[in-house]
Amino acid sequence: MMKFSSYILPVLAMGCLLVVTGCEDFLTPEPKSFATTANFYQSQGDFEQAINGVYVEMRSLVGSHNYRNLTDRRGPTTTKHFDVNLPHTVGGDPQTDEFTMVASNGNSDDLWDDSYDLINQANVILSRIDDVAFEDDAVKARIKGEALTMRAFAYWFAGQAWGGVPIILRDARTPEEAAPEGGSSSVEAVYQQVISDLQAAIPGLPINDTSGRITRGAAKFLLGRTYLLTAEYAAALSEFEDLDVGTFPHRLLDGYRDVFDPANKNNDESLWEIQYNPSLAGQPDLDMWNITLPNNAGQKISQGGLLPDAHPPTTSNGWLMPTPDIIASFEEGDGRFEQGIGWFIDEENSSFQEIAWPPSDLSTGQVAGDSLPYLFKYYFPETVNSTGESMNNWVLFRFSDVLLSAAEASWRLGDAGTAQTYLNRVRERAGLGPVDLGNYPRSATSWISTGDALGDAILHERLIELLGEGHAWFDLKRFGSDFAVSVMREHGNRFRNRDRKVTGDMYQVQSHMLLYPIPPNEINLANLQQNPGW
Amino acid sequence: MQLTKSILASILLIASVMLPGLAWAQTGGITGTVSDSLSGVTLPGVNVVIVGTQTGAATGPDGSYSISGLEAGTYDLQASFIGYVTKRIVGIQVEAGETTVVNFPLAPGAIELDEVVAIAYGIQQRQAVTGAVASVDMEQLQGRPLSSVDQALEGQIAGVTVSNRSGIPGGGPSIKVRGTGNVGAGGEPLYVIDGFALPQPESEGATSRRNPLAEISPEDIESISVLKDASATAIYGSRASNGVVIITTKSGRDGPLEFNLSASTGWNTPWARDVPDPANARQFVEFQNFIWADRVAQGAASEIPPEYRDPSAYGEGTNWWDEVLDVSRHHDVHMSASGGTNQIRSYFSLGFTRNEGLMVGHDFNRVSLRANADANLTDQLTVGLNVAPSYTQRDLNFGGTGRGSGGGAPWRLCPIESPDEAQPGVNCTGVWSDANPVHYLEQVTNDMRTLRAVTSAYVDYEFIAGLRARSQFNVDFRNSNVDVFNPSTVGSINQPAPSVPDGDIGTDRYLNWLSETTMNWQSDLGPGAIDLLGGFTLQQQTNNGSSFSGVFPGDAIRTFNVASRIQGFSDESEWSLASWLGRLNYNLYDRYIFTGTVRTDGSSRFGQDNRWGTFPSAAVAWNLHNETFMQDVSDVQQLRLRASFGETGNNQIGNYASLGVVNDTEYVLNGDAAAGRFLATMGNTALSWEKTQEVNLGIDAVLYDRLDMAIDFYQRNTTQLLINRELPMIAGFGSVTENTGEVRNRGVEVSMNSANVNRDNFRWNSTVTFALNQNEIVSLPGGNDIRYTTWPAEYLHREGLPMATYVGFVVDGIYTSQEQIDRTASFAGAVPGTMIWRDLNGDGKMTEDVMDPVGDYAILGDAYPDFSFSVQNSVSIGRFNIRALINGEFGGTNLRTEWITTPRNIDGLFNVDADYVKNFWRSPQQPGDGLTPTPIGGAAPRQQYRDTQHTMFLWDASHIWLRSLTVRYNLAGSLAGTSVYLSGNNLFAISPYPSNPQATDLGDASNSPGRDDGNYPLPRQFTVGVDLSF
Repeated sequence: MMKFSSYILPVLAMGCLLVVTGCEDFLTPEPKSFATTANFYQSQGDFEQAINGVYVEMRSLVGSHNYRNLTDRRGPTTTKHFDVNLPHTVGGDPQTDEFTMVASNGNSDDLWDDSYDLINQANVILSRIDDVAFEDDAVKARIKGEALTMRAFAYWFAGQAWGGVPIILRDARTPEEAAPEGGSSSVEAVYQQVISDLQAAIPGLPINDTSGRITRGAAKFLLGRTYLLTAEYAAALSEFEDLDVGTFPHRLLDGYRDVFDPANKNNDESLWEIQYNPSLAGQPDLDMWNITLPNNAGQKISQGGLLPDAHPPTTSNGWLMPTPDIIASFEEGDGRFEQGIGWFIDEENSSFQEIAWPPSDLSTGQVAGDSLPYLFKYYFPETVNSTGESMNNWVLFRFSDVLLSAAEASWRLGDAGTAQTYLNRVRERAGLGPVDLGNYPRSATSWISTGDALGDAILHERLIELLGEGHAWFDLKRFGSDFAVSVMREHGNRFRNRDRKVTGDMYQVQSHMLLYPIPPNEINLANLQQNPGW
Repeated sequence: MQLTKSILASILLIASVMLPGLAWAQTGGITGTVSDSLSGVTLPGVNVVIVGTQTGAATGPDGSYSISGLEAGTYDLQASFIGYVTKRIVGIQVEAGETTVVNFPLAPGAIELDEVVAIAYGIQQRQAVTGAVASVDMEQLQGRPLSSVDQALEGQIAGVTVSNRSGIPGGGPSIKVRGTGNVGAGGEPLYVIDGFALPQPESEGATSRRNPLAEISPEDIESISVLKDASATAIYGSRASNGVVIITTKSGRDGPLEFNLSASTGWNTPWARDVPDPANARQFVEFQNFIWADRVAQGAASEIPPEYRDPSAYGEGTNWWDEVLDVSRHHDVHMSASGGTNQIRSYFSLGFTRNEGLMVGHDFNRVSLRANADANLTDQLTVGLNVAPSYTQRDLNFGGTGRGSGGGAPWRLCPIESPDEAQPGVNCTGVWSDANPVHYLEQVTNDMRTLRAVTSAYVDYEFIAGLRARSQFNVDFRNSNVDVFNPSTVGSINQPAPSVPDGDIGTDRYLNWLSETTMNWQSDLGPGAIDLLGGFTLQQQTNNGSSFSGVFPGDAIRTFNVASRIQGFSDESEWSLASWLGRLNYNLYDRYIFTGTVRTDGSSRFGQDNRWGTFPSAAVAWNLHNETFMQDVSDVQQLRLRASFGETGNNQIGNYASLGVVNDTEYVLNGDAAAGRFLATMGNTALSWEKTQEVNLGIDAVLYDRLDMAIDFYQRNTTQLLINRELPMIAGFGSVTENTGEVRNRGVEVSMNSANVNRDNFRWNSTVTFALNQNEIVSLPGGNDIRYTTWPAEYLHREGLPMATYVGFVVDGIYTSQEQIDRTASFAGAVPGTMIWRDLNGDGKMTEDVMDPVGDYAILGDAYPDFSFSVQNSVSIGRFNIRALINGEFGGTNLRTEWITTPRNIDGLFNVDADYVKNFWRSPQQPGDGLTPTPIGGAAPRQQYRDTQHTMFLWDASHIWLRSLTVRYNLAGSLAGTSVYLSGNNLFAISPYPSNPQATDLGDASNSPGRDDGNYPLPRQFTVGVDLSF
């Protein structure tokens, strides 16, 4: 049996040897289910995937209900479907709509989070990409351009939403770096960052691309829009004029509705669309039914057999519905009314039916019976996929906005003629004649008046043309702070006078409400200053 | 041949010496049987000696002994056996040529003085233990029917908290040793079974889902020790700071074949204390009527829905809790056989357990096998194998809690609906509808089947006397499969059937192996005895998980071959640990004992820069009773002072917390999927151990032959806390795990074991434990408060306070008039009938910022009990034994999140509790109990009530519990060794808390203690059983 013990010692020794020599390997298991900073961001292929991750963050920001609440519903043209048979729901959404929001409002909080998530992922790329050799430098330039443009978009949005915010240009690598002490920059510095990012991005971006990537046109348009905010109108106009020449493919489509048709994604009119395809496994949809259809309309539509497919839109909450005022403000013969607004009538609460246009007295905006308007421009039931999801992309920027922005820049520069020329091109597509400044402000929305007929005409054209596209609130602010406050107060009064449960505390609009509150937890954690008044 | 010759020579030599005596003496003898005086079971291996001589014998397998060759005369005879009171019978007459019969009934000992306890990497005589080590009274372990191993710890050891959170079948209590010292890392102790450090649950989520000991049959347990202080645990290094529970399973003994059979059956009954009391139909309609009348008055509704117009038209209606809860059964059968020779010893067992849940159709079934064998292959070489496979099956389709989960469904449902309604709620305007929970329980499948095999093998080799090497290899393999099927016939929230049938299949698997090699040298060295241990270990675990979901064309075929739109994922992760360990024990004259240990661990879970950690400890013990000056103090049998200091660690965080994780995602380009990546976590290459430094002072004493007590004082400082620090959003990552901050736990533990009466036909033993623990945050990063919300609970970590204190408003009743509201500081939107918040800073307005020194938020207590105690009595009268365990905790506060989210949501979407309808404020004329807010008045009052933290949902969770009561009868005669018993668990409680005061996350979520989300109801359990031994 002494033989056995002579085996034991070598076995023990081998074990020791393993510990001594192989320990670091033994204690460094390579993660098998994900990559790490140690082995990723090393090659062109890695960055080609990483940039798609930034697009996903962009979709999270712009595709959310919060984004529409803060950019569109806060303005006078869209609202949340209100159902008198249901208790008034509490939460961030109506607060945003009705100016009862508190500093801890969830919409504002979530969008702040989404904005900086996007900025961070762009920074992850931008702070690493120059250390890596690419097989194709054009690809590197494109990826940098895309990351810079998306970062610029986030700051552009943040500047308008919150004013001066912290400017972060590098991702944190250690716990110490993750506690930036710089505080907020001025809003001017934020816009200067946007401008320099976009100027750096533009050369590397493609002019022609219909895959859904960012094009040079999108970046130039965003740059022009930023110049509008910094009152550099000539620079702005120059960017818009560039886009209106042959080098760029962008133009107005013939039909207003065609721009939004899922069968016609990434068309010539669109400058930047947020891409969706819910038919792919695991991909989200834009939730378009939920956004546009009135409360419970989805089930009733399916029961009424109005959808060509057996799969009903199960959720519909009317998150974004046109207000009676904006409906009443359409001009007679405006093709955008027929193409952009649809109607449901709730007959004895049993089934919705589509009813013919025009359903109501346009001069008053009062709607016959219980019919409810919705954004028909997004309604394409024939393209619904097999599980009942809408196939829409979110159209972020499009060419008619280029024309309207050019009109605005020209007007600001004092060139009324050029401004009207740009305006009329948009009106022409809508089937309307040249702008008649005597019609402004529009009688149904006479309270939306800057005191300048051409300015009123440009703003009105924007509110109609871009209805429900996420521009109304920032447009209103750009036309003046006092103006925006007075418009929203009157908007509240008009709602209060209608058959709506608008209580006294709602629409008490104050000038500090033009900016959103900085999330309180962020003030604590990052040592920021709250916006005045909150 | 050489050996054989020398043996033969020896035999001849011995025989030649003895033969002359045999040749001429005329002698007599004594014979007889030794048995247990209570049970009558014969005892093998008892030493019976003639007092004052070396002459004697040991009892054989049948308990009999025989002493022959005695000259005629009078003798005193003494029988002694471990665990029994030594008995002496005097004046025995022995006649030449005759045999006298003397039987010994041995009484079980009052106090066991030379008890052996399991410690890390070995066993020790109680007298030689230097650290705070406590063992479970083995009699208790056998005396109370247990459904899980960890239940055995309840009420047994001071400082070990056992929380019976839920009655979920297959679940177990949560265990804490000496309070909570962690913020972001796991807090469960390390379990070591037969030398195998079992994998700790991967995350807190995992602990709440499964009990790491669920697959082990309690009847197979030989002993349980708990290592409490750092000197005892430090040899487990980086996993020891939450305490170590050492479990030894039964093994074969040298002796005849022994069979044991235990069988029991019983009933789980819903227990009024833990069964909710929802409003009945009339109360519910009264409540809805009140709300709707207000809506009509406000113009928010045109009329009260017809079904809510007349409360008096309704009676009891349907109590959905009664529908889903029912008396259920539990059964347990366990058989074992063991035996051995001096060369091979073995133990085999087979157990079967079935425990049904209180909810219809829920059950947990376990089949467990255990086989072990130890063999002395030579005098020097011992090998052993321990194989313990088990198979468990759990049907549990209402696992979760809270308002969105199935378990919360009975709270939500409308009581005016018929119990047969497939989708209750559809006929109740404004109320959530959901599937009939009974249909759900009957029709929805959610089965988990788990195969687990814990296997160990060892080789033990003795080179020379006192020098041994032992190498042990252990494997724990666990494979769980989950099958879920939701048929078309069952609807979901607000979506009545038919639904599209869907299902999930999932696998969760781990393989954990541990290789340990130790060398041990025991020898006399100088004036004392040295015991030196050294070794190294390697441990690794690989986890694999996968899950697939799909939709089905119908309900008939439920396997995935017919499923479509299948989506799935799988992942794999691993961790590894490499360690060196050493221990020196020096025992001088059995009076002064020194122990020093050290362990060095390298863990894959930490950053490369800080991967290795060293954990030292030292302890001394002084056995005063062995000092000469104590020899005359006859009332003190033992007196020992202990002092120890040591450092331990905690590595219970995720496997890859130190790494910057790049996750995958997908965007759409050209209408098609485009792979994307994003940096999901920041990583922290400096991440390292959480370290606990602990000082322990203890006194052990055995007094008056009947009182055994231990008192321990300790202070544990946990530093370099693994804190998941929340980052500002501008940092781009939600949080980062880092080592920062310090928490202190201080406490006193007292345990007493006393033999109050110890007579043959009447014995009364008591065990009393008491533990006091104080938890305080010593420092936090930058000295800053950490305030955090785990909706709907709000907590604060602040230096100088216990961890996770509740913060919120103080409620001073409710407003009775508008005038009163106008006069005081009130929240915006207050109406008569809403809560009065105390304006703590007197600034005339309500401010909810606790960070702001002028805020009205107050510190509202914490979840941790100030002290806990247990009293256990065992009384044996004749053949009857009665055993009762009472335990309790005082000073903890619970937050009733279950109420906040569902019955006290009070916006009419759900049912409410009966008390609410009885008590809520309706008008100055009908003020209810004057404390319960009105459900009306718009959004603000409800927001104030349920979305803001305040004192109305905080409750004192102090309790005293009659945890178990067992009456046992030991049969006699030919059935000796057989006992029958009747037992009850969770019998009775006294507490201001209205439901199960332990139904909280205290056990596993260090960051959100005291939340009562409404766990699975705890049953009152009755058991009848029989234990046979032959």
